[in-house]
Amino acid sequence: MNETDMVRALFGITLAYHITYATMGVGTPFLIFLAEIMSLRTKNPLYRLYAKRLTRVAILIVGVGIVTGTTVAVMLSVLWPKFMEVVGQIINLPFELEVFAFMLESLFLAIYVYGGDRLSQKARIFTSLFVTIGAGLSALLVTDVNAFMNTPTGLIYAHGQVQHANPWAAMFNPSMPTELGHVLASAYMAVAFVFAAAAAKGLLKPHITEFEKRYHKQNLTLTVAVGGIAAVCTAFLGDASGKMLAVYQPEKLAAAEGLFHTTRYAPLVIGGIVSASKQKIIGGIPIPGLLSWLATLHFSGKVRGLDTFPRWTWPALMPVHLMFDTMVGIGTFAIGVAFVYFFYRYKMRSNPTPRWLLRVIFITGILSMIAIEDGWVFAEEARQPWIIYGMMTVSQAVTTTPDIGWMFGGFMLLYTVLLIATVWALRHYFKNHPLREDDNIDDITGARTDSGVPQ
Amino acid sequence: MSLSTFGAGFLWLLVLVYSILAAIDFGSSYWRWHFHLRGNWRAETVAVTYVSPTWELINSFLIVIPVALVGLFPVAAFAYGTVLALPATILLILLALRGAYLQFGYASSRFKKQTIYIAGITGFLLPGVFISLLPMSQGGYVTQSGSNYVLLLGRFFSSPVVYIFMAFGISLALYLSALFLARYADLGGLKTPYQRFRKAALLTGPLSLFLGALAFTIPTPNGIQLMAPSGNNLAWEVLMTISILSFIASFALLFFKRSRSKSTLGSLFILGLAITQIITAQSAYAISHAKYILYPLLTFHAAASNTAMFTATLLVLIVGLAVMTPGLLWFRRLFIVDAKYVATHTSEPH
Ligand code: HDD
Ligand code: HEM
Ligand code: HEM
Repeated sequence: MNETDMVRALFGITLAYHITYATMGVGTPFLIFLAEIMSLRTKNPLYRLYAKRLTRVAILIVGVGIVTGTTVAVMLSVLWPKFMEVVGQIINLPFELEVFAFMLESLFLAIYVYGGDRLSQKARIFTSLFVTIGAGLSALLVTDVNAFMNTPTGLIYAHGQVQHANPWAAMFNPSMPTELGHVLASAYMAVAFVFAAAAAKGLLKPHITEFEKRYHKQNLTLTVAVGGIAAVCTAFLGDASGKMLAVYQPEKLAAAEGLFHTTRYAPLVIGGIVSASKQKIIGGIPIPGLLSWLATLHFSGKVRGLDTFPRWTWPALMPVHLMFDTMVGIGTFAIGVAFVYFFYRYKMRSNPTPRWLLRVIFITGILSMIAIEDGWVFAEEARQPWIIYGMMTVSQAVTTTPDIGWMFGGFMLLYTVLLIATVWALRHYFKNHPLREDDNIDDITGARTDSGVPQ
Repeated sequence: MSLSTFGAGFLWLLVLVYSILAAIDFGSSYWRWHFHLRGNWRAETVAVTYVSPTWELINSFLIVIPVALVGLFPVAAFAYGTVLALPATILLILLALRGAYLQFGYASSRFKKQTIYIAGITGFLLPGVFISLLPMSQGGYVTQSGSNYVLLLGRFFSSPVVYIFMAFGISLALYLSALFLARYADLGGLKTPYQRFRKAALLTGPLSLFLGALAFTIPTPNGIQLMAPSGNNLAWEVLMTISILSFIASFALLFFKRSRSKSTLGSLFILGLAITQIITAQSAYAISHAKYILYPLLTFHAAASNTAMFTATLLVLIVGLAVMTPGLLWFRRLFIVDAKYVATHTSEPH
C-alpha cells in the first residue's frame, strides 16, 4: 500500500467506525424521547422501563461516539492538512456550530441521566427532546461539511488560494438540503430497525414470560412504526438527492448508474458489472426510461453521461454502481418489511407475529446499518479523485508526515479494543440487569441497584 | 488592537478555561485511583461523584480549541497538523481509552475496577502530554522544509525542558484538583475526605510552584526567552507578582484551615486564589509568547484567515458560548454546588 492509500484507508475506517456510533447516538435519544411521550400518554410503565433501558445503551454509545468523533476531528487536521487549511478559510462554520450542538447534547444527557428521580415526567420529556435535537444537529452540521465537499460554493479557488470567501454561502451549498435530510432520515430508520431487531430477537427466545412478551411486542410495534415511516422519508429524500446529483454532480450520478453516453429515455439498470473498457453494464436488469424519470421527472429527460467528463476524473465504476444499488435495495426492502408487519398486525390482531417475520425483521436491523455504511462509502468513493469536487484532489490534500504506518497500527488496535469492549459491556449490563417487572424505573443509571461505588 | 490579536486573545482564553476544567477532571480521576488503592472509599466516592457527569462536557470544550484554531488561524492548523501526527496519536489513544472506560464502568463491577485504573493512569499522564505542546511552540523542535513543517522527534523527546514541562503539568493538575475536591468534600460536610484532599494539596502545591519556576526559567533550544519578554515588561512583572502572592496566600490559608468551618466560603476563597494564581501565570506566559504561534516560524498575524471567515468564526463562537452559558450554569447548580447531591451520593458505602 502506498502512503496515500494507507491514509485513505485509515481515515475511511475511522469514519466508518465513528458513523456506527454516531448514527446510534442520533437515533437512540429520539426513541427515548418517543418512549417518554408514550409513557406520559398511555400511563403504561413498560414505556418508562423501555426508556430506561435505551438510556443505558445511549450512555455507552454516546460516550464511545464522542471518543471516536474526537479522533475524527484530530485526524482531519493531521491526515489532510492542506484540505483543512482550505476548510478553515471557508467552511469552518458548521464545525463551530457543531461544537455547541455537542454541548447541548451532553449537557441535557447528563441532566436526563444523573438528574434521574429529581426530574418530573415533563422535565424528562423536555430534556430528552433536547438531547435528540443536540444529537441531530451535531450530525447534520458535520454532514454539511461533506455537502460542501460535494458542491463547493461561496469562494473562488485559484493558485492554491481561497479568494472572495463567503462562509455563509458555503454553508448553504446546493447539496445541503437533500443530503442533510437524507442522512437524518436514514439514521432514524436504521436505529429504529436495530432496536426492532433486538425486540424481535427477544420474542424469538424459547421460554419467555408473559411480561417479557408484552414488553418486546410493544417495543417491536413502536420501532417498526418509526423505522417504516423513516424508511419512506429516506427513500423520498434519497430520490431528491438523486435529482440534486443530476443538476450539481452529474458525474457522480453517471458513475452510480454506469451511464457512459449522454442519453434521453435513459434506463435504470439494477445490478450488473460496469465495464469501463467496454463502456457498458454487463448483466443487470434494465428498466427503460426510469433513470431519466428519476433524474428529471420526465421520461424524455436528458441525463449526462461519463463521456462528457475527462477520464482521469472517473471514480472506480464497478463498486460505485453496486454500492448504490445495495443502498437503494435495502431501503426498498425495509419499507416492504414494515408494510408486511403492519399488514399482519391488522389482519390478525390477536395472533402472535409469525416467527419467520421476526427473523426477517432481525435481518433488516443488520441490513439497515449496512446501508448506512454502504451509503457513505458510495458517496465518498463516487467523488474520487476529488476531495473537494472540482477544486482539490485527494493526493493534493494528503499529509506528508512519515509516521502513517505507526498511526495506522495504533488506531486499528484501539478500535479493536473499543469494539470488543462496547459489545462486552452491553452484554454484561443486560445480563446483570435482566428484564424484571419490579425494576426500579426511577433510577436510570442503575447506581443504587448495582453493587460497588455509585457511578 | 488588530483583529488577529483579538483572535489570539480569544483562543488563549479558550485554552485557559479548558486547562482549568481539564486539570480538575484529569486530576480527580487520578485521586480516585489513588484513594481506591488505599482503600479510602469515602475520599474515592467524592472524586467519583464529581467526575461522572462532567467529562463529556469538558471534552466538548476541548473540541472548541482545534475548531477555533482552524477557523481563525488555518495556516497554524496546517503547521500543527503536520507536526503533531505522532504526539496527537498518543494523546488521542489516551483520551479515547479514558473516555470509553468511563462509560464502560456502568456495565459491571468488573469494568468498574478497570475503569478506576485506566481513568486514573490516563488522568495522571494526560496533563503532561497536553502541556508538552507548550515547549514545542516555544521553538527549537520544529523545522521548515519547503512549505512543510517537520518535528525533530529525537531532539524533542531527549530534551529535559520538555520533561520539566510535563512534570509541571502533572503536578499542577493534581494540586488544582485536590483543592477542588477539598472544597467539594467541604460542601458535602465530609470531614475525613476534606482532610485527605487538603493534605494532598499541601504536598502538590509547592511542588508545582517549584516546577513551574523551572519551566519558566529554562529556555528551549533557540527558543523564546520567557523571563524577559520584549515590550511588555511591566505587565509581565505585575502578573507574576500577583501570581506568586496568591499562591502564598492560598497555601497559608489552607495550611491553617485544619478543620472545616461552619461556612464553606473559606475553601471557596482558597480555590479562588489558586485559580487567580494560574490565570495570572498563564497571562504572563502569554505575554512572553505573544505574536508567535509557533516560534520563530509563524506569527498569529501571518497565520490568520481571511477577514470574512475570521469575523464569522469569532461571532459564532462568542454568541454560541454566550447562549450555552445558562445551560452550563444550570448544570453547575444541579451537580457541582448542590450540597444535597454531594452528600447523598457520597454518604453510604455500597
Ligand atoms: C439506511 C441507510 C440508507 C438507505 C436505506 C438509503 N440511503 Fe441513500 N445514503 C445514505 C443512507 C441510506 C447515507 C449514509 O446517509 C448517504 C451517504 C452520504 C449521504 O449524503 O447520505 C446516502 C447517500 C445517497 C446519495 C448520494 C448523495 C450525495 O452523494 O450527495 C443518493 C443519490 C442516495 N443516497 C439515494 C438513495 C435512494 C434513492 C434510496 C432509496 C431507498 C436510498 N438512498 C436509501
Ligand atoms: C461518517 C460517515 C462517513 C463515512 C463512513 C465516510 C467514509 C469515507 C471513506 C470510506 C473514505 C475513503 C474514500 C476513498 O478512499 O476512496 C472517505 C474519505 C474522506 N471523507 Fe468521508 N465518510 C463519512 C463522512 C464524511 C464527512 C461528514 C466528511 C467531512 C466533514 C468526510 C470527509 C472525508 C474526507 C476529507 C476524506 C478524504 C478524501 C477522500 O478520500 O475523498 N467524510 N470517507
Ligand atoms: C468528518 C466528519 C466528522 C467529524 C470531524 C466528527 C467529529 C466529531 C466529534 C469531535 C465528536 C465528539 C464531540 C464531543 O466532544 O462532544 C463527534 C461526536 C458525534 N458525531 Fe461526529 N464527526 C464526523 C462525522 C459524523 C457524521 C457523518 C455524523 C452523523 C451522521 C456524526 C455524528 C456525531 C454525533 C451524533 C456525535 C455525538 C456523540 C454521539 O451522539 O454519538 N459525526 N463527532
